[in-house]
Amino acid sequence: MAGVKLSHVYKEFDKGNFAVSDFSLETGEHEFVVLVGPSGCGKSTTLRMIAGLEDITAGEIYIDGKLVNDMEPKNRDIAMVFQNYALYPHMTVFDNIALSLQIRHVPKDIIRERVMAVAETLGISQYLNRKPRALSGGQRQRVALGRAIVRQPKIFLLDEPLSNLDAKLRNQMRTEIIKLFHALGTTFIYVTHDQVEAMTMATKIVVMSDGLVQQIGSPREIYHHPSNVFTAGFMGSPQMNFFERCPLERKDGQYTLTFLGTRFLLPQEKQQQLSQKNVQSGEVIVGVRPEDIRLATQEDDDKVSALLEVSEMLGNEVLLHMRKAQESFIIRVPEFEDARFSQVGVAETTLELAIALSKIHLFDAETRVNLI
Amino acid sequence: MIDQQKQSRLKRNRKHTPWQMSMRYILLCLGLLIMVIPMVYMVSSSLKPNDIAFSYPIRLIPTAQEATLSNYDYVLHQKNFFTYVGNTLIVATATTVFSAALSSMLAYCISRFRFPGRNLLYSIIITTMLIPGLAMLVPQFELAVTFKLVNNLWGVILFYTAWVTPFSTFLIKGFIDNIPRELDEAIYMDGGTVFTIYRRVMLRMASPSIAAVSVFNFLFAFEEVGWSQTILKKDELRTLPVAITQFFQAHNRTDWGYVFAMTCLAMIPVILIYVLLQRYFISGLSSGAVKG
Repeated sequence: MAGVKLSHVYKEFDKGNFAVSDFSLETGEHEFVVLVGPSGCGKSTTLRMIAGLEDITAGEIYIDGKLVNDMEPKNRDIAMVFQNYALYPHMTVFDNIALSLQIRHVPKDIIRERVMAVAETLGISQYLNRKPRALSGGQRQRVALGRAIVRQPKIFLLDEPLSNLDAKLRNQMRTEIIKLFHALGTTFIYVTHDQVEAMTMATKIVVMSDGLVQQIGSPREIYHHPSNVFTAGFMGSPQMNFFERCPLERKDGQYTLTFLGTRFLLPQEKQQQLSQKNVQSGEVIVGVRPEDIRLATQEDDDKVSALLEVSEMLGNEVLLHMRKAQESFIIRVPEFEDARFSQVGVAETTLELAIALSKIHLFDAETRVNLI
Repeated sequence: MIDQQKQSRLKRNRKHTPWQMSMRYILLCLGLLIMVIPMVYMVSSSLKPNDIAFSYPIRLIPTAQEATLSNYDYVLHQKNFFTYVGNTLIVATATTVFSAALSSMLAYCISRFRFPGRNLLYSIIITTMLIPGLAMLVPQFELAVTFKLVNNLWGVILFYTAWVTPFSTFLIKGFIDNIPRELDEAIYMDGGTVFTIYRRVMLRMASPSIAAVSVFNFLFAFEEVGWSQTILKKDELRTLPVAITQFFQAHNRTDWGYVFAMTCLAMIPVILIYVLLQRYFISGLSSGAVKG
């Protein structure tokens, strides 16, 4: 078992064009790290640098405490699962899985034993004599996983392994990869652009954008305490509602916030956090998750009324697309709250809403960094 | 949507009137005749005695009294006929093997590795495709003399290999460009080297294009006459096409019956190869060319 450490790693492709900048990360010995971000954010490049398939421009990469900057990929004791499976179409499933052992001249009987064991684990024993083209997408993905597992490497690198599968199969394979992670007890580094995969699988998430690390943390931390507007908007579906240029006022030690045409006195906890950071009056970006706005009841103070534009019935919940003046936002309410939202043609109804002020996020309007 | 597509396809087919279709077939038949008549004439002449080869009016099919196998008898009982066949097969096979090995390695390197001068190298290879080998007869002959390759089958094999390698490389590179890089990378991660990738992935996956160029190269080496006639002067080293030319103006006349009999015999392997491997001509060439 081993961990990976990246220290101030840079990757420059053309002069001045950095795919990855100042990337630092340290993993534990049994950790599921997910690099997540939009296309072109440098997550795959980072993974390829760990694998040794890309040279690094600056910085250091350690695997199991050993500096591997100039080490050949084959000597790093890592296995990689590629997005398009990278199976050899002219070889049988058995040979595809056995290839890495054959290259390393492992005795034939041991190869057979290990391939059989891996195939058993992944439920592909009956396909060992087939060629990859005779397998479904999910089965091919299992073979690709099998090829990585059979070597018993220290680190697993997975580059968007589920993105070629349909939604149902993706859910199923997600669970299987999590089981595999627990069974193997090694470090997994997983690249995806799908925030659901990141949230469900990771023990540690690295959010990236434009080659820069935006935040590193557990799924819970990333979701509940996003460090900036990018992370807050990227994680969560539907994404967090943002209200730009909202005046935050500090008067007599009390913070008040105006957004959605209403002036709110922030709750005690937020007051303390803001005054500890000595946040001054000014314009802020307010972030509210769709589930933190609900339909108001009679007892609620500070109600906000907004126009319902569209309701989307998702079965267990309803997404309501609301509008108030120029601001559009989405709220998530349980299906039972009001059956009429599951009907079509309810547009242009005015609804009273209550906002969970203790759960809102305040971001600096200039730096877009979380103020609390 | 599908119905619309179907209809538009039907419309497209309907565009051709019966008159257009018949013109098309008439043109195709004319083309076919242009190709086939010389072959028929060749076979028929090989079955006629030399003195009536040019009798007038022209008869494509000799009469029963005229038909004779004496030309074949003479050609087959020439003391060196099977030596010629052997030489030709050696030259064609060696050229095919060498060019396949060389061009597949070159194609793999140019397709996969970024090294200084890579584009220049590839441009030079492409440019040499434009120059027919025989256009450089004199400098090549000097080269052959320097390396003592005159009157040596290697002189034919090596130069043929040099001639066919650029086009083969171009074609195989087009094919390799479409093999996903992840397949190489997976082997690197698994502990393989460049040669493991070449042997385990490239040779296997690019085999349709290698097979296609190999068929072409074999036929080229089997049929080429200009260069081999220039440097193979000894009778026992001659290849079949060169051997055929020995009947031209021998004893101040050309024994056309012998020429055509030997040509017919020389065509047999060519036709066999074409019939057996014809799918590689089309599939390999088109896939490499279109995608490349």
